[in-house]
Amino acid sequence: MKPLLLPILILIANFAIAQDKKIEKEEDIERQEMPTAAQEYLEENIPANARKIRHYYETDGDKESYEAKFKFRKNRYSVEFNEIGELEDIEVVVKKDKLDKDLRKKIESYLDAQNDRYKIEKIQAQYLSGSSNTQQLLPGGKNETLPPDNYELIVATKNEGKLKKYEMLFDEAGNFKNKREILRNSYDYLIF
Amino acid sequence: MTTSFSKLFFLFLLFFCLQNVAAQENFSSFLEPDISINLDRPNRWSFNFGIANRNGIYSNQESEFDTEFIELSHFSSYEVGFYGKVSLGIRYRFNEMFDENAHDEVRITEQYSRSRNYNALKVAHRFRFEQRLRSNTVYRTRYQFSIQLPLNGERVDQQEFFVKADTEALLSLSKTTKPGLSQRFGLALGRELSESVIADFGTEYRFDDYNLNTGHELFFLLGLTFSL
Repeated sequence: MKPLLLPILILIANFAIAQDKKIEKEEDIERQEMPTAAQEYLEENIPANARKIRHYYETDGDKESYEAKFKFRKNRYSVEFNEIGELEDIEVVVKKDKLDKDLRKKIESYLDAQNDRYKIEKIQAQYLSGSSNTQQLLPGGKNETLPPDNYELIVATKNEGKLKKYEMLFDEAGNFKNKREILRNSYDYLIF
Repeated sequence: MTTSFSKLFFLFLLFFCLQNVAAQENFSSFLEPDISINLDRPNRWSFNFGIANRNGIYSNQESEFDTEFIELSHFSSYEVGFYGKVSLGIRYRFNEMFDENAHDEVRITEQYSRSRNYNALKVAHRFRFEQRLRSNTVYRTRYQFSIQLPLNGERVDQQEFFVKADTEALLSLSKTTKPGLSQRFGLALGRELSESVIADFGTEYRFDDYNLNTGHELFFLLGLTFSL
């Protein structure tokens, strides 16, 4: 029994690898690995004293995108580009208690009506490229007079006892636009 | 890529530091491979089935390779709240097969665990209460704190590595022996081989009964987890 266990382990692992399908991937990259247009944009628009600057490449198997994340004046920014390096949007993390009260009420009443229970895990103000917003946002940084185009929320919901996570989009007035389920991290089960 | 390489290097350095501790008395080391299967139901239930075995590789200042036991285990878990789970587990350890003087052990575990992601970091707490049914029943309470971090990007994708570090405090109580306190420190490197398979390799250092007569144990853990 004993000498058999290890070879069996390795054998099963190899079978598993052979079954790979479409691979979703997100990884750390260097800025030089981004499309030139994205590199130029970041060069010009990331504030000089931004901290913790990181770059990512992401694909779902079809669509590719690039992202730069950094911290500036206590705010977390994430700048997203498409596969040829054109700016798509800029997102800034907003604390729940910093959100406008009426807006928060409107979003919460929608979530209340749709779910047995829910928890808002993350809120990001989204500034879309094409509007003049992104130009006002960087490199100067966020200011209160600049309204975002959308709010992107990560929401954990419980319906009939089952937990699900969604990425939800609300417009600047707090009206629900759309949602996408976030599949639970498969490595959850290591800690069971 | 450079960051993930330096993280890996740091990890292996730590592994070697752990091995240096080996040169002392009351020290033994073990190899423990295990395979487990997870069934996550579309409702609030999940089930885990495992088979593991423990092999001694070093004890009493000499190398020796002998099998200590084979163990079958099962856990049923039920989601509570947004981040918690309560579980009931049962294990059966086949000790007699390998040592005439030993007795098989049945272990019952009640557990509450809670885990949450903070961006890339995952933080988990686990509370356990165990009854180890052997000739002399031992009751044990345990608390484990663990963190998990992907080595590439902000989440673990297929073919990517992650690290897991944990520490666990244990208190064992029984009628015939004094209460024993133990502390464990673990460090593991895992890799997602495919959507449903994870392999991990880890070391765990245990200070056993450190309030009585401290035993030092170093475990090398090999794991393979399938998720259906």
